[in-house]
Amino acid sequence: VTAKRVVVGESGLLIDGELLPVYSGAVHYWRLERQLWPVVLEQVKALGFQVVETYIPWSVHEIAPGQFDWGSIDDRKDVEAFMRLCEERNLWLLVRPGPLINAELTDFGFPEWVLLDPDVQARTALGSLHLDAAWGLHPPRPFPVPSYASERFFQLVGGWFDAVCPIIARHLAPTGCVVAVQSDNETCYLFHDQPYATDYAPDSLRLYGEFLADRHGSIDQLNAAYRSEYATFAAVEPPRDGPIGERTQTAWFVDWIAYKEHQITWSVARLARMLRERGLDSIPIFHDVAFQYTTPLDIPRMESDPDIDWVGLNLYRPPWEHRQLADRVRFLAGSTRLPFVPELGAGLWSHHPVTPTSAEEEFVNLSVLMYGIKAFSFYMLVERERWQGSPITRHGRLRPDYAPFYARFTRFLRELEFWRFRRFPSVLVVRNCDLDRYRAANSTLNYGNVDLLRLPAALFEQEPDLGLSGIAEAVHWLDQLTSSLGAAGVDYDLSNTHLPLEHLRRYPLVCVQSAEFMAAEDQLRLLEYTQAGGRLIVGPMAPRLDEYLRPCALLGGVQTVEGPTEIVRAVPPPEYRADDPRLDVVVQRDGVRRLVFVANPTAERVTAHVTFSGEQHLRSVWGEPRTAQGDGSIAIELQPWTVQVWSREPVS
Amino acid sequence: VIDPHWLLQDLDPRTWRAIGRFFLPSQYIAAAQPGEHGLFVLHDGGAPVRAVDTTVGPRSDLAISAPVMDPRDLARELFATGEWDRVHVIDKRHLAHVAMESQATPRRDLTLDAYYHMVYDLIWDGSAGYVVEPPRSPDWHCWTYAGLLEFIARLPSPSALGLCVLEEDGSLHVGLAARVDGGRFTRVTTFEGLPPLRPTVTGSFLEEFVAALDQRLGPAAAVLVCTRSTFETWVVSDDKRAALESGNAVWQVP
Repeated sequence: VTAKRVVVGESGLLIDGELLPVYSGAVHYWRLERQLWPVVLEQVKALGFQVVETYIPWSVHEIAPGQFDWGSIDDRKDVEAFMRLCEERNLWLLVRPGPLINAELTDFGFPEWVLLDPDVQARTALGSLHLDAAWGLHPPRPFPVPSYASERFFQLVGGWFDAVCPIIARHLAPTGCVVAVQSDNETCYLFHDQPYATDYAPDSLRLYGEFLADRHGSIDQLNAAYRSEYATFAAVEPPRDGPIGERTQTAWFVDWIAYKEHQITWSVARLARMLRERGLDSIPIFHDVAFQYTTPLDIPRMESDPDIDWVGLNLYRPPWEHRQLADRVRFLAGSTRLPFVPELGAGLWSHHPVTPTSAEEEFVNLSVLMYGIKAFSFYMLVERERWQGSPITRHGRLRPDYAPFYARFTRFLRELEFWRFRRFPSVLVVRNCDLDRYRAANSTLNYGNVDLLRLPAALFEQEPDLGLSGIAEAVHWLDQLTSSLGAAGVDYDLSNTHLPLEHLRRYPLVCVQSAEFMAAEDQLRLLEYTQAGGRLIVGPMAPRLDEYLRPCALLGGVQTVEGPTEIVRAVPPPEYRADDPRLDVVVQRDGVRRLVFVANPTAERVTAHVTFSGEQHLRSVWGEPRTAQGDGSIAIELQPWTVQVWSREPVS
Repeated sequence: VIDPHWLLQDLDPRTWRAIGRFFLPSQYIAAAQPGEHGLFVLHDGGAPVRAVDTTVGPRSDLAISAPVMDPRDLARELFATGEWDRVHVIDKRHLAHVAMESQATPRRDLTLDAYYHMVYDLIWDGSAGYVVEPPRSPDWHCWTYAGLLEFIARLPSPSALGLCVLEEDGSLHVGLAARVDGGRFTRVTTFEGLPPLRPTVTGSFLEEFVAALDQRLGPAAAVLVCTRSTFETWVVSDDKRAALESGNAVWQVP
């Protein structure tokens, strides 16, 4: 094992102990004219970036089985020359060799012969193939989705990694430019994330059997949980549609949901090991989640896997989805070592219905910083085919409408030394994984192409009467709690019940969503948190059953609350808040320095006051230079969909 | 009509924002229309599963008698109450059949539009699998897939298409150009991918636009230049030609 030269820190990557803030942007070398590479990279630097990111697509380089083009046929494919150009310009590089790419490539970057190998293909619950176009618009043509449990698939990926990893390995930091590598891309059944959509391929069912063996220990224990009489784990047939028919079937159903989560983490970890085995063992290996932060994605558990160093979540959100954006960023802040957006929208793919304006990008990107993101990579910093709205065109020109924002943004980060600032939320709000799994298990209509029918979401959700109480109340409780904290101006983080104890201990108060049931190991971990001095509130009720609905009331002694009002009363009042509930205020600190972010996530102009204690002098550090001084408050006015950033200055 | 290796590049973000609304395939396939108050009744081969009202959510009060013997009668009866703009009665097994058939093989012979059209034909196969009252329109504002195919088939190969839509103040709203080879779109670009143009809704600009298409993409076969209001009317009009003739537009067709 090679010593790690690059590790993940709290504010960025540490290269031999020296901090590199990860403020990056994507450049796709193979889609740009080779002679323009130097021009493009100079423009990237001119916008203030020190780090770039690129995919290295399998189908682009392996042009026939075992035959590779690294620039000898098409000079745009000389990825090593691209790396050398980065090194000459002191640009660091994040690389993403797949195997899945997407990037709007035909067949998502998989070679066609891989996709057409029957042993590679995933299967739906109905037994059919599983086509990418059966859920979501993915031009320009449909392809059969691979199974991420297929041994044949991993064998073929091994051949690709054998070819690409030695090239990457020659350029690892600190002597080379490559500071991190990504294991696969947005791994999640190619957007078919519904519980019973897939993956019922033979190798997936084998992996399911192994998962059950690991989870239950012996077939007798499984039979006890399922009230079944299986002879072997391999004999267990998974459920293929919701809802849970009877209470006694709960274990069988939720195990399948848990397996769907496991397959993702297992395959990302396996691919990460394959990269390490091929020499990429001295830099961090990360993964990017597409957009989900509940089942089948389990970010805390994925980052706890010893093979995966770092997990981020991609964000392509318009301003009017501010709440969803804030929730996702708070979730990353509450759940990961270095809150990271591996793909932060800069422009959009060509089949997206709403191209952002520069003003919309400004609002979204400042919001991302506001709620706690410390690392990001703009996707795409440089345009290419099937993409639009980036700050740099494929010809290496700056787009006058878009580029100035990026130059201002990197200058803002640099001048403030933004990496030194942190939020210090005193509350962690925890989603209940078992509740999410239970609800997922009761879904139906997980069929291909139903997304084309504009069916209401409630048609996909079933509510069987299994004699369980508190489910709807728990869903409502979480929503009400986060809304109440927001309305009271209280900053908080989000996570789920799989968060490790050392992360829980960063917060003096942890509020956990619960219905009647919660996994015993999660109850135990929360109990340990209280024994270590943390304050735990469970609502709207304490669990008295485990995830299989067996008696388990480890949290019987903790405080439970029905409504969120008592929780809001239990937290210290915010240092700064707005007197208009439409505005959101978040404070970041670096020692005595304060940054006060104020967001107006509405379509209306808002005039309000920011309140605080004593006499304070604030200076605007984003946009027009302004100052404001007041005793107890200052007046502010925010245009629709804007963020202001104020720095506290010494009172004159 | 979409080539598996089509090139979309030099896309002006303003044009792309203006045309993005046309990229949602569900609007050409679904029966439900935006803003409609709908009722969706799901059954499984006749056994009622769930009824969902788009305004109030699940409706367990509807007393739908089991089994659903005639989905068409049920849709008509529920619609006749006057409570909803549209009533959908859907058999789960029909949706399963659509998913199964559409993914039976890798479908590498189909372009993406042809794949979606196959799904459309499977969903709306005339059976009682998905019943809608009142019935859905068989076209989208009088545009049909068959009409599109017929238009493309009439084009010489190669040929170029152009669309220029101007705001009432003369600024560019949409500046779009495409190349078609053998009945497939092989390249799509915007005015950023053409020589500099100074668009106006005039015959002289039409000639300039045609020359630019000839130079960069191929022989111009069909070109439309119009104002935004004319464009919006043309998109939704029953009589496309009349919409252009009565609006502010110049055009060339094969």
